[in-house]
Amino acid sequence: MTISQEDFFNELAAGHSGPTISEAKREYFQTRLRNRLFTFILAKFVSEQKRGLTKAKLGRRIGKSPEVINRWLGAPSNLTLDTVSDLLLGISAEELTPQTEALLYQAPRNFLPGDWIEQEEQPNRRQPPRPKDELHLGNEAQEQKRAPSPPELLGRQ
Amino acid sequence: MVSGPWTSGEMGLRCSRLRGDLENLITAEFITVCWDPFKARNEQIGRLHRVEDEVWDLRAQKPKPGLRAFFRFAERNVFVVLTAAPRSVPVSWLSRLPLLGRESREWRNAIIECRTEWKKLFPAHEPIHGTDINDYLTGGLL
Repeated sequence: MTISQEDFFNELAAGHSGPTISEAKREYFQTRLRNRLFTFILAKFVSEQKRGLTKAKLGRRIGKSPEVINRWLGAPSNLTLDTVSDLLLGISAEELTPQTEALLYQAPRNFLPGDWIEQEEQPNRRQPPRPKDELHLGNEAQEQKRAPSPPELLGRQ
Repeated sequence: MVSGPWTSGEMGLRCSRLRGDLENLITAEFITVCWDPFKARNEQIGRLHRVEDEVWDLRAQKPKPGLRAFFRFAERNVFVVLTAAPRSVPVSWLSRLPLLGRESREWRNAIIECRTEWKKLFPAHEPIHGTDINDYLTGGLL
């Protein structure tokens, strides 16, 4: 499924005097942020596991029970800003460095479907070039994976 | 459900968040996975009973009401989400009964419906069968 990025961002493009950005649209971007933070922390944890970190050790380090660590590292919806801070401290002795990037006017992009999907003949179709990373959350982990643009809704690549 | 435009109120909030979660499933470097049916606690996705059905769910738990989106893997790292249902309470904007208890008729029907929709879309293509999370997904964390 491909959704026009232009339509999706209409509310955002209206500028400071534009209409109220809908609650649903705000929820969508809140979800994106929560999921990105969660993935970022998971990547940190997986990386430190290779150096001997366990959930039990992490729990001891930040004074939380294994159940709490399991919950925090289980799903994005269990994170708060405070838990993000605790986890980053305990996992890698790091803190977030905020940085943002504009949502508007990015080049359109989408994944191509797999070979197993019969496609209409599209001789000129090519994968569009990737724009620069959208979010800079710190150091090495963010280079490994790129955040989605809203039109991407088919398959992990 | 996930393409919008979304109405105000519960449906808009729930569906916009589901879309965010689906996109995350596509692109995230790591996803938490419940490999054993009925053992899920906080994981983002889970394999459903019976495993030979090869039906999985995306567990969109918050905010209430929770939703489950059902999908199958066409190949490694390629999944097709086919249906969705409310987890515990009926919602006016989704014509599905809540799934309720883990071995309920509604759960079974939801899995059958997912398989049926798959057959309609891909009559000549079976979902993949794996013995390990890595057969399905890169970056699945058990």
